[in-house]
Amino acid sequence: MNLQPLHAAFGVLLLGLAAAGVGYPLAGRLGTAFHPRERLAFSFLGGWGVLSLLLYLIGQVAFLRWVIFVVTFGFAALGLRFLWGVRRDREVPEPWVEKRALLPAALVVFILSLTAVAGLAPVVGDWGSDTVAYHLLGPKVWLRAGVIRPVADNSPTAFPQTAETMYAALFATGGPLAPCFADFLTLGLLLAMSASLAMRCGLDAPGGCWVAAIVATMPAVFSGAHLTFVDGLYAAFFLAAVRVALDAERHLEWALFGVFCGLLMATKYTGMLAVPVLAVGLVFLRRKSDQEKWQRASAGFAFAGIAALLVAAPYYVRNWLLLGCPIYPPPPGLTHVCHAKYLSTQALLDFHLYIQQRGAGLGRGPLALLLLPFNLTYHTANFHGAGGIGLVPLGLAPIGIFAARKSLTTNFLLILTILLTLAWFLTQQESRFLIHVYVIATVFGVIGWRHCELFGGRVERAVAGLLVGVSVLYGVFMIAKQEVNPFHAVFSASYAAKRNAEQVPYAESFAYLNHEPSAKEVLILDRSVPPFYLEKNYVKPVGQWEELTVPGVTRPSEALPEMGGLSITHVLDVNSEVAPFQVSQPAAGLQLVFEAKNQRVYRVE
Amino acid sequence: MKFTFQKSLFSLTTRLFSLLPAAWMLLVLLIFLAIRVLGSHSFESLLPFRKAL
Repeated sequence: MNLQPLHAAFGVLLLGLAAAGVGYPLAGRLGTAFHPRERLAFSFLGGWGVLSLLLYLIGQVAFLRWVIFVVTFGFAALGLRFLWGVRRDREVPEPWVEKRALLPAALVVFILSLTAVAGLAPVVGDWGSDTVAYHLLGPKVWLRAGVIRPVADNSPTAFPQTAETMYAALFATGGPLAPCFADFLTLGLLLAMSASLAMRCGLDAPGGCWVAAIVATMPAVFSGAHLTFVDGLYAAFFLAAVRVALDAERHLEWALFGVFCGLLMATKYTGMLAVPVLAVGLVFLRRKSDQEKWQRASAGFAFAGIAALLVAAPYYVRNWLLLGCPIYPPPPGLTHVCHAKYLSTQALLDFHLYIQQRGAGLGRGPLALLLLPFNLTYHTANFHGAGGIGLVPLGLAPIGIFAARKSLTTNFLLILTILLTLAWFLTQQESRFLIHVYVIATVFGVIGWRHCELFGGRVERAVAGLLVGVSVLYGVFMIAKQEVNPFHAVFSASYAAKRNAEQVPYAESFAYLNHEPSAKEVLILDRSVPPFYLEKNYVKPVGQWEELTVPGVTRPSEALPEMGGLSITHVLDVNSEVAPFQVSQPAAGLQLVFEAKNQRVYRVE
Repeated sequence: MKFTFQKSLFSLTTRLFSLLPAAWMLLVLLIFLAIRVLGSHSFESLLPFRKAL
């Protein structure tokens, strides 16, 4: 009997409870402007981020399995106590669903269930998959090394690691399937934040449910929130920060706003752009309110700033100390200021070129900006949109914005939308990087739909309903279509094995090395080989982004004479898309012990 | 006479304006259906875009 899914469920449950244990003392005290259910959702989300920060800080010294267990069990016990108290005191009303909310609630449950089940499929993919290349590589290596350090041969492992630290904890507590299985939890939190913001904007509970359902069925949102992609979590932190900021009055609420801002920057570098945008929007919002509120907000900003700095700084300071630059790999503006360890000038230029080309979208000119709403809706492939964002943002959001144009909250959200979209447009036009904006657009869209329902004629009501229906059905179809294979792999061991053989590059060599007891330290010569699948220590002298990890070695073949100093026991050599075999036979000091198509494993004699 | 004309002009404008949301949504829906359901890449080439969904 395969117990891995149960193991994964245990890990997710443990970390979920631990997150509640960390988050409830903070978010549980939010003011009366927040519904008890919202407090609970904020507790889980904030706790998820702060628990990750705690583990990250501990992991700088010792990231051992027993340490992770002790920390998470401790907080999980606390979380259980809080949740028990909440239930006993009936702080949160019993769950109930209004009749009008049944359909969207069912859609949300369907997508979350699909995410959970498909998340139990074993990870496959080559170096082009971010999951394999770095999201899960770092956590695996940290657990093996017993310390959290950037993996030298893959510079994206130095990106802010809020999500990745939790993946490592999930690996430790829930086994190999736990990180992808946990996606349903973070996606659920994103949807909870979406509904919370929607209801703050004046929609009722069914309206909030519809926002969650429409967001859940956007393929671009799904692509950024499953397979351990961090964009969904990032968007959830952003929406939480916005929601808290809208009603922050007390210092604790401002501090919580700051924590969410800090978590934004501690999840993705783009948080460095989003936080100033949030600040600008908030200044507008508070200046428009009364004078007293503005004065209180000024003190609140200071609290928030300190909290944000405390949460985000560890990731950037660590990079600065270890890698020579707080943002690593350094962006164009920092390349002349910082000396980035492991990366040559050429490697940096290549990296920037890749980002620029990948994020080019349909251009960066004024016409492209003007046409962006159409392009994002109809031509999502140009933005790596995985099937799009549906029709609600384009079809209904303008009506919603018009209907709610006098609301200060609408104007605040509109400012955020415009500034965030501009920042995205000028940097990297990758659809999933804009999930938080899609959520805001959906809130406007559902407001527009409600406006049509209340004030529109028969035709208007019918067309609005049809538009939402087509959009949602199309999204469900696109998501289900791409999840058919993972689903099949979960329920069929033979298909999972076939999928593994087809989609894991050099699977035979990895299987050999993982089962060979004498293989202790493997030298990987080709930069396209994904070391995620290797369960042993390894050295990759030239990394995926041309990182040079061994002093004095600039080409893979130059690493062979250095093997003695690196304690190498085996060498993995492949004939790949980027380079032919590096070891010419017969090789002195190397014994060929395994060979398959385009792959050879040598033992060091 | 002038007053009646102004009144009917205003009424017509209001009526047209009230049709705008439905027309807009219909347009968004039809473009989507044309591209996706009919798979009309030739339709797409009429628009200033380069690549299909």
